[in-house]
Amino acid sequence: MPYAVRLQRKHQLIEIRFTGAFRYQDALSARQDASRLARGRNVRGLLVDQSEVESFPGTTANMFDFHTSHDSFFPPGFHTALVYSPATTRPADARFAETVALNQGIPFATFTFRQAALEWLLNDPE
Amino acid sequence: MAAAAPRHTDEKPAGRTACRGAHTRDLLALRKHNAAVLRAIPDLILVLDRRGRILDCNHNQDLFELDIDECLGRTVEDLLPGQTAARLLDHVRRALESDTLQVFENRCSLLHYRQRHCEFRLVAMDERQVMVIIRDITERRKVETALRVGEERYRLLVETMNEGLVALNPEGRITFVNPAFSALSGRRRTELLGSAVQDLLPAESRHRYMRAIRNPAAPATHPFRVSFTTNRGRRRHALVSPRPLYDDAGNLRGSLSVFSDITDLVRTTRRLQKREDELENKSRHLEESNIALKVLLKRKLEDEDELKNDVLQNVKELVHPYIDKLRRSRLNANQQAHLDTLAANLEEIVSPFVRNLTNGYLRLTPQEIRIANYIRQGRTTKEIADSLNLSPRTVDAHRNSIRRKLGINKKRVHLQTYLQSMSDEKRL
Repeated sequence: MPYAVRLQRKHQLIEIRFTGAFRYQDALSARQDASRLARGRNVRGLLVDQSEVESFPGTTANMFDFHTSHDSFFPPGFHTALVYSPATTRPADARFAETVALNQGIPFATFTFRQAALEWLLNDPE
Repeated sequence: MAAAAPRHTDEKPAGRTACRGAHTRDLLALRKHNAAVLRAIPDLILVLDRRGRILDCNHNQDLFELDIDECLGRTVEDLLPGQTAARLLDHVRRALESDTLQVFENRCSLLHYRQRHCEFRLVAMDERQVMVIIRDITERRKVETALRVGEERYRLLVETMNEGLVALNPEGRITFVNPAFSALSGRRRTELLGSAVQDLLPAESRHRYMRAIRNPAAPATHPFRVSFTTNRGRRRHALVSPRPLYDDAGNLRGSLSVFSDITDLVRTTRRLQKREDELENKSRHLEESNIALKVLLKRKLEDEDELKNDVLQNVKELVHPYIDKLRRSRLNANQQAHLDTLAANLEEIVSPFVRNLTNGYLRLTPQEIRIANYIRQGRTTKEIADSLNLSPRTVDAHRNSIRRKLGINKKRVHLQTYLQSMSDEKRL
């Protein structure tokens, strides 16, 4: 499986970690799994770590579709932090993903360091 | 481009020749079918060996205007620019080694064709050959660029606009707020998202707002005023323009509301209103004072008139009889002249003319007033000089001084006429 979904009980966060070759279909499945896991739990946010993927072939349309359907899976105000590696994901693509998400009202931020993402999720960024 | 023929196991040929004939027909039919499919596909399909030599390709004339004869036997390095060819060869190697689908996008031109954005998909056919599908994604890239620019512009717009923007889902829950609304409501975005916007509004605004965002008959509602209290207890005022949103089937999809902060305007209006009320009160008070002053002035004028009349009456009754008695007594010429002057002066003192001359801004001396009075009566310089025991030159000097103080110095104005005209009180 190119991704793993788990609940971080310490921080009350859901974490999705992608490895290997990234596929859009995996992202959709992972989000669905995370949504199921978050249901009924007092989860603070979602940490998506794709810093270890080998390639990121997601298209602009994929990214747009992904974020415009986000509200079907998580409640409004649910924070999502994405950790990416500039080696596999262009910062412009990360910025686009962030823009689409914010335009949909999703509290979403992208980071290149996992610790920064965790701090953002835990310290209520606003 | 060749394709493998399927085996038809459900048929039982009568003999070897018949069987071979049937297989041949099937093969030809399949080949024709595959050729048609390959021609219909808008992508360029190449079969490459490990070194990037083109073993086969489809006849896609539309995409890159390639002639199959021009391609076969050549390597990708002959067709593609150096960097793109190197990248393709790298993916050929990866596809053969990992037997996984390889996908990448690159801007390139084939042969002399103009630059285009292409998507390369590679899959290993066996241990030595790789199929490469090259798709022209130039148009898609244009659309994606437009989408990125549009999203970025939208973000910039909503994040920098002064008006608060709120999106609600069909249940009336907030799904989007911009920073301006966050500031206006005094609440953080995370607090607002998921909450019901009507909970922020007082009862009188809530009903109207909810009706506006759910009324299909009013897609564009006129802005109306709402007030709400921030979490710090501050009262804020806004002009809200709600707009319901529907999908193509006419189902309510949510709503979008623009809140314009008019708190400062409302406060300023209130201050102005208060000031206006104060001014109105002051104005009323001044009017009343004015009326009282008018009454007082009228009373004062009446008192003044009464006093004047009393003075005149007293002069007439208590002074004139004695002057008359003096006139009838034996007086020498000099005494008679003094008495005439006394009588004339007394007459003038109670007349408006002298009062005008003593008016503050003229500042005539008593001697000048006496001389001006004589001039008005038509007396000559010599007569005045004799009456006042002055030299004519002194009288002339006084005349000049009077002219200067009256502002008619060096003007062609007859002094006697001018002084006579001053008898009219209205002139000064």
